Amino acid sequence: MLTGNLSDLPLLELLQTLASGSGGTLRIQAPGVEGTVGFAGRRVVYAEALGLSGMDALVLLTGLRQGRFAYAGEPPAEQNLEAPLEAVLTDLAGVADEWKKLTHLPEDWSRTLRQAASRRELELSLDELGVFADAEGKTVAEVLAVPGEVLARARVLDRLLKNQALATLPSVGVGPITLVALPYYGPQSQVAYVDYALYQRWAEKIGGPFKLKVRSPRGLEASFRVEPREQIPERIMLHDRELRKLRAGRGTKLKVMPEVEDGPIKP
Amino acid sequence: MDLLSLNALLNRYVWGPEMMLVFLAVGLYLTVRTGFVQFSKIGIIFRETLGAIRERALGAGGEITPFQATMVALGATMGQGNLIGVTAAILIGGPGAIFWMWIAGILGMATKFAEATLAVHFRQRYADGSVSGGPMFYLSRGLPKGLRWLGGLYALLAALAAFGIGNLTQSSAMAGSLEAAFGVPVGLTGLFVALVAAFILAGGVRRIAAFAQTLVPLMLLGFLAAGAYALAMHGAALAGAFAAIFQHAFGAQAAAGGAAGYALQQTLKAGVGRGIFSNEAGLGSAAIAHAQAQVDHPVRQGFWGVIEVFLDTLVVNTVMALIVLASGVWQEATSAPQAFVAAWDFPGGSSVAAIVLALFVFTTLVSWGFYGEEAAGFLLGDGIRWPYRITYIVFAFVGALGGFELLTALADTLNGLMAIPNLLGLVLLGGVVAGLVRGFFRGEPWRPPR
Repeated sequence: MLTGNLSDLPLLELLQTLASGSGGTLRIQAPGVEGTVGFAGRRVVYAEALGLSGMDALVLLTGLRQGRFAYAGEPPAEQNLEAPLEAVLTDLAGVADEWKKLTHLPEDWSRTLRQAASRRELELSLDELGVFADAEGKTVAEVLAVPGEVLARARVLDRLLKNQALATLPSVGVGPITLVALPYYGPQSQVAYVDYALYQRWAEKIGGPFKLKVRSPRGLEASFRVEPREQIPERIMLHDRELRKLRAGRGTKLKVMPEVEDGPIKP
Repeated sequence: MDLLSLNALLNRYVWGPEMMLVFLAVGLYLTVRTGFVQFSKIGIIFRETLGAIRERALGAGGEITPFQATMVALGATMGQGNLIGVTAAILIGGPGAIFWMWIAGILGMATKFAEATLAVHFRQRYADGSVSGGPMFYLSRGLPKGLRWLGGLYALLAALAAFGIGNLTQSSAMAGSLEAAFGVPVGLTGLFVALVAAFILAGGVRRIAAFAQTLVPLMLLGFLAAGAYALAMHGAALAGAFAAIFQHAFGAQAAAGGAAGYALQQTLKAGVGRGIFSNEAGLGSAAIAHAQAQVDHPVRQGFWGVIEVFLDTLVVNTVMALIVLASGVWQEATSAPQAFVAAWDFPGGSSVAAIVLALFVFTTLVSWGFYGEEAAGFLLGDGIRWPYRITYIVFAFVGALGGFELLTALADTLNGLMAIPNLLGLVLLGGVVAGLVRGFFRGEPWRPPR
């Protein structure tokens, strides 16, 4: 068993090291990405990552700058690729050079993408617009993992991050969920209440203070401090005034996503 | 004095003008204690209830959704009183009675708001997640120690009265109506009512709620559609009907045709009586259904209480009154049932009237079955539920056959007596309601009593 981290031994060098072996399976675990590469003698016979397979998966994994790996001698049970290792190494050398140029992509691909808060006008090409529209709320890895487009999307994403059309936030490990709006009344208005059980689940997963980003069906958004309250499962309580600002009311289904301020992620 | 005379005397008091004044006074008191909730928060009330009808299947912390609870309650309140009762009010008090019915109904909104709010606040939660509530609970858990027996008294009255107001009267009215309109033998109607009611009641509150949330809105919409058609037939007389309500409101004005005129006292009594009794605000019965609602705060269910009175008295009763007034039958008819049928004077109208009446009374019978069972359960524990259900179903069958005037009269008095402990409790617990309203509108979470 060979183990290590891609930050010490990038995938390309790792594959060169493994080229001398008789066959086995390499498993990679990085933030937001899990992948597997299978060898049989000096051939690569299997590659899979985030639903991608074959060369697409290898291209994606080549872009990883951190992540644990483990290599074991059992060959893979399945086969979705048939390429001599030398040919794969030649192809991936060019790919790795491309990845190195994308300096604005974060190392942590589990970070969540957000459309930047500024209201300045953006001039986006068609492919930039496509990625921009698709990225909101997804992790970097999810945006990249499109068959046949991994590197192209990585370039576009890098540009969007460079010109600050998009920003990334540490992943809270919680995807957006739908909660039903319930108004409350009174003086305090910047607080969103969610059910105790849900709040505790989020708090345990996030491990620190967080707030809630709420999006109405009309696409209007607002962020709120969050507090727990009893007896409101499947609900989010927002002040009546704030609900109206979101053009929503009691019973409106809202997309709710916890988010943390940029900072260290809970290990 | 024999039993019948005693009952007649009591009945005169509990349904008489003195008691009506008590109802109005309590409504006024609760209106003030709640900060005129039915006026000052009317926008919020509509947004929280009918405006949020899309979430009728959602709730938490109770047995059924707030919408279902309201439909169960509305199923009970909408009965003969909304149809024949309103017709009778016009025959006795003239068109002006409707004005006073509205005024009483508006005060009744605060009463029903308080009942529904207290029902949720003081409800009993069991280990299996089920809940029970209603006046018997808020009286026994909310009042000072020396008065807690009022809860038991209320439960006793409700458990017995259910056999009259909720059962014999309704079953008999349904059988009579279907026999007159379609020639259906009363025994057959009785059997049908008993079997269907047995099926629904056997499923407990969840099945009752599922039944009510389907049938009651359909019944309401069907009535309003039929009512709109009937009113369209008399479109030209509609403005006059409205005008008559206001012109006759202060009495002593001669009506054209048969009725010579109405004294103010008569108009007031007939109208206020309808405004109080048709929506059951003050009797406390609907609170038993509202207590089952899954809500995060009792005041939110209180809003549904207001809407219940709104739909019952300001919508259904008003449409029925306009049909009677616009058709002109109120000037010629000699009895309310006769006028009620005659008012639907379009082809097939009498069949529509019979079906509307049958549906209204059937939902009443089912909801009251639940009320009675909850009250009996409070008194004697859960073991009484099945024996109570079976007895109730037997009564539903035999009620259709008729001939239970004495029992019905006794139950009617017991029904009226239910208001006494309930109204007393509402006054004594007015401060609790006011506190809950204040807390709710400050955004504070609800803290149920231990």
